[in-house]
Amino acid sequence: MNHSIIDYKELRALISVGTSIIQETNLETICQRVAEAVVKYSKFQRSVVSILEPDGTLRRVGFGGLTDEQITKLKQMKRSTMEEKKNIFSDKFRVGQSYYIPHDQVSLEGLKSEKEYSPNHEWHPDDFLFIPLYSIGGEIVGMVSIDDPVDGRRPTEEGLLPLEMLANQTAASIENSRNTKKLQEMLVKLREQQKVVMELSTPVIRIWERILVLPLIGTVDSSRAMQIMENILIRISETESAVVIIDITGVPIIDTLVASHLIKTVAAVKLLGADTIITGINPEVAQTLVHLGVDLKEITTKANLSKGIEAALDITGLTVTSKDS
Amino acid sequence: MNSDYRIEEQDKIEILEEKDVVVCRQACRNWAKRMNFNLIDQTRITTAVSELARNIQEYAGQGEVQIQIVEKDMRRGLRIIFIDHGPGIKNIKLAMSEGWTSHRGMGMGLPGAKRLMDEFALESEAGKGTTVTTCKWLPL
Repeated sequence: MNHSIIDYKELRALISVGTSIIQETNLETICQRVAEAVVKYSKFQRSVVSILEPDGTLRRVGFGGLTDEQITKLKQMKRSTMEEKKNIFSDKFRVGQSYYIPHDQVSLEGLKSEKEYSPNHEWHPDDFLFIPLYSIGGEIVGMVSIDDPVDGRRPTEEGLLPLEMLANQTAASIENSRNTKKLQEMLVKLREQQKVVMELSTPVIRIWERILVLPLIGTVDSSRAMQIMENILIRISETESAVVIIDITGVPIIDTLVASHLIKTVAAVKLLGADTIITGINPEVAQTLVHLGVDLKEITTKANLSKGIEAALDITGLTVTSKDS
Repeated sequence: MNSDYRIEEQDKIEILEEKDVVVCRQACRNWAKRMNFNLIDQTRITTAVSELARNIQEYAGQGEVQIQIVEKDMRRGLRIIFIDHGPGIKNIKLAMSEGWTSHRGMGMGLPGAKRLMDEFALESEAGKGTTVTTCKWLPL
């Protein structure tokens, strides 16, 4: 029988559509092209491609063989949910990977009793035919609903095969598009967080009258070094400070770039009439700096932050004494 | 000189923007850690990588860094090769001298990096690019 044999022309056309949508990242475009391809290359004259949204509803996205008026109407109709469709995805309606529900088995209350049908029977305008879209993980991501076969016959397993292949590629494309979108969103978030971290990690703290502390943490690149210098200079003039302590315990690497930024910062601070004390150079960094040939002779350095604070108090003419004495 | 090195393991990192310099030196530090270099050597290697990878980014715009664990004469070492196809260095002798800079650096990058590593070879041709091959050996 003719209709139970795979139509190779149809198969080839649908495969080429399937291959072309896999690179498409726009969900709407994917669904629209699939719906149009179904109508153009298969014997079905109408199709709707729906996507399962995170809230469990099926959003109708692609339309083939329908008038603008019908499309508007369909879009305005209440979305059906997967929950409502559960009865449909029953083994007794299964044809291959698809589900065919003859009109006399459907009622508003649900589904009527089982009835054998022959594939030679005629298609009824109220019959339903769905191809679920399965993700690689086996989850339903949407479905293609097709209607109105040109030969007026009920579907067969072989006859549906080309459309099911397209459905599988559609599902993969939808998944692909969603993953790409998710990745892009994550990337944007990551960039924002990087910015936040950068801003957060350069606080200039006033620990006493005329004494500021800047604990430097993490990587210092050109843009951050610039920001740090700006911060320090603004805070010095705001607070009329005399000393800035820059603690670099949390900076993993001091290369010539970081060193030159430090030297420039110290010079700029000096122009404002204040002194800089650098603290927290660990032994490895000290050795490496000497090997690199970086000369910090002009800069006051102290072993750690508390020694730095002592020196700063000294510069500002303050001393710390015990309560008892 | 390549022939007598036996490469045990290798990887490469592309330098396309400033943050790749950080990614690259972090990776090199991890390799050094894994090879049980002591903390001082880890810091030396990381700092040298920071200088040389930054040179790629600053002068050539982009390039790549190859990281290899090598063995030669019964010694194991971390060999790091910096390759770019940028403008190249016209006067290598000048570039290797202390305090000379064509840019905004301190002029210590190349000679400094050389002192931090055990081996350092610079090949460059004006208009074709630069390759810096460095190696740090584990103490016997």
